Amino acid sequence: MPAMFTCEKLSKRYGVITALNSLSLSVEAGIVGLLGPNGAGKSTLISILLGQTPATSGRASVCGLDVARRQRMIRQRVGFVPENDCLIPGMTGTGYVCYVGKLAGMSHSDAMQRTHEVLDYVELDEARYRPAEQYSTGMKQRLKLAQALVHDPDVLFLDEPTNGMDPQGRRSMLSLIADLGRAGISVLLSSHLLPDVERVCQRVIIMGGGEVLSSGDIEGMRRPRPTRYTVDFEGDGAEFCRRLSEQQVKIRTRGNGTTAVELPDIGEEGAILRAARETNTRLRGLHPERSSLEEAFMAAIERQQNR
Amino acid sequence: MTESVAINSHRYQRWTDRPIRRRWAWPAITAAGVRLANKGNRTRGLVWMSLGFALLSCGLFYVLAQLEILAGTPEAAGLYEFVKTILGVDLSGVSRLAEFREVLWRSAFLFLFKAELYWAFLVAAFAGPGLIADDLKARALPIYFARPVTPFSYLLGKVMVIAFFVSLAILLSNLLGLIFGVIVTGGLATTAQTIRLGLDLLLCGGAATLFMGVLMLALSSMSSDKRYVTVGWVAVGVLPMMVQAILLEQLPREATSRWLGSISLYGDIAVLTEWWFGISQAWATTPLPREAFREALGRGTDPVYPGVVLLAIAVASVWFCYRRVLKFSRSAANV
Repeated sequence: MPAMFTCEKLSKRYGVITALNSLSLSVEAGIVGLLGPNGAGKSTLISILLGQTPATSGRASVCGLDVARRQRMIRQRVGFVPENDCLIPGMTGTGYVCYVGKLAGMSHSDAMQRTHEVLDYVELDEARYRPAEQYSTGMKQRLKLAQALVHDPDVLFLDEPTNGMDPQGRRSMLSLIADLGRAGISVLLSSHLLPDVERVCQRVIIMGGGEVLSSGDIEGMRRPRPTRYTVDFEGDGAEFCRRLSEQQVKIRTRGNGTTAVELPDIGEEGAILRAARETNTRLRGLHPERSSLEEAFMAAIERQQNR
Repeated sequence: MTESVAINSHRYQRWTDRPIRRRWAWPAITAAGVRLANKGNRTRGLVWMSLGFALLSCGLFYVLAQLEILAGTPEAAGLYEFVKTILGVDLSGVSRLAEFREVLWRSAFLFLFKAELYWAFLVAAFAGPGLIADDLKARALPIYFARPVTPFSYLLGKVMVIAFFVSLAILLSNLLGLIFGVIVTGGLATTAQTIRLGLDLLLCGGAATLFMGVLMLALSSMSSDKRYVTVGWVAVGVLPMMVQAILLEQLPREATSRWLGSISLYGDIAVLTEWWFGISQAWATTPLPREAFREALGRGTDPVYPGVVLLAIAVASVWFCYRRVLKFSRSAANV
């Protein structure tokens, strides 16, 4: 399977502003998060990959197709969900998705058949016959996903697909994205909502100042914290926690049968075991905590700013 | 084949039934544009009223056919008067009218074309302003330019929307009138006599339609608010047309110099159509005096100036809106 996209020394300059600075990257198929502050070059990168903006120098390819020469073919294999509404006033959900299918080169009957399939998939049900401008924000986001899927792309570029959605709608949208990944569609998810990225993506690319600051598996980016552990145990653990506190172990949070602790120093795990032994508490698990994606993101941005 | 899944499954289904054949995108853009514009009651009303010109055209040719039959008889007196009033052609005393058919029909179409042109400017004012402006307002351009749609296809699709509405008035009704005229005056023999006229109608109607289309698109690409586009169209197209009509009506014919015929876009198109229709040359082949064609011959305005003006505006409009759309297409992901 070819890479979702690759870039070789890709640069884009707008006058004196450098939007992308010699970006070299190879992104394998799967669900990949694209993170970065405003002005990091995310939209410029997507624009170049869609063949909309010519690069100043360097090369890029999507699904193995050169973006400078095979724009039309790339656009037939890529679905794009823009950040803004981009709905055409006066069109129903069905009419809109069918129209986009025809723009992608489908015949009317194929586009209409496929429209109903994807609208069922994004759960727009009877609302599909209502004018799209009457939709709620969540419905508009799902309609935008439907229009990106109508021609069954191999790659999806999603720009803030959960913006403005309520928690339930967000969860639903993220499960759709995860399902698309399982169906073999590669997804590039650009979002400011790091928990969303953390939930569905296997890998992330963190951009800043037109460069890749960090990229790789999310798990690999979340570094272990040597003094923080989550402890699972049997019983209510009141005595166990009291004993931990006596040994200078800080109890961060406490739940039923579990507690998050912070050791006074690196290598002091023995304090937890001692407290368990002394209070006859049976331990079920001892998990070292890892930093969140947000912390990894902030660290990457700080490193860039300190350069 | 589509992967087999349970009927209540909510998994994503790949679509591999038929490969996507690359088709022209502009017919889809035109069809959608026409449907959307036609949802407005005012535009729909104007479209239906445009078909009135087809009826007018058929009615006029029915009268001319009757005149050919009754020419020279006392019953034709009223018809002669009618033709003189409407077309400005005095055929009193001419008995073998079939010999004057081409010049008479050209005069009739010129009269119809000028009336329809007024209407076309009005129809365009309702159907055209939102063509690009609405896409800009709704930030809908990414859905075009993230697809295999080129700026040229996009513009062609949009210009054909205006062409559809405008051509209902200035092309379709004339062609229907011509076909009706051919049928009621003798069929095949008349066809041979008027085939050149049919081509002239197509050319002049098509050119006027395209000119209005590209000018409207250029205006529509300037703003995301179609009210401003409408104001621009009225200022550029409709107001000068009204001023010209008033001046021509108020000032005595001798006092109106030749330039007055082309102080508006409407006037420029009308002058060029008069020139192309060649009424003067057609009249010269008849034994009738010039006075008989007083109105139909127009004011004899030089076609060079209107031609240059219209060509310059058309080229500038195409260049401008293509540049704008190219710019939008290159920033579509950031819109």
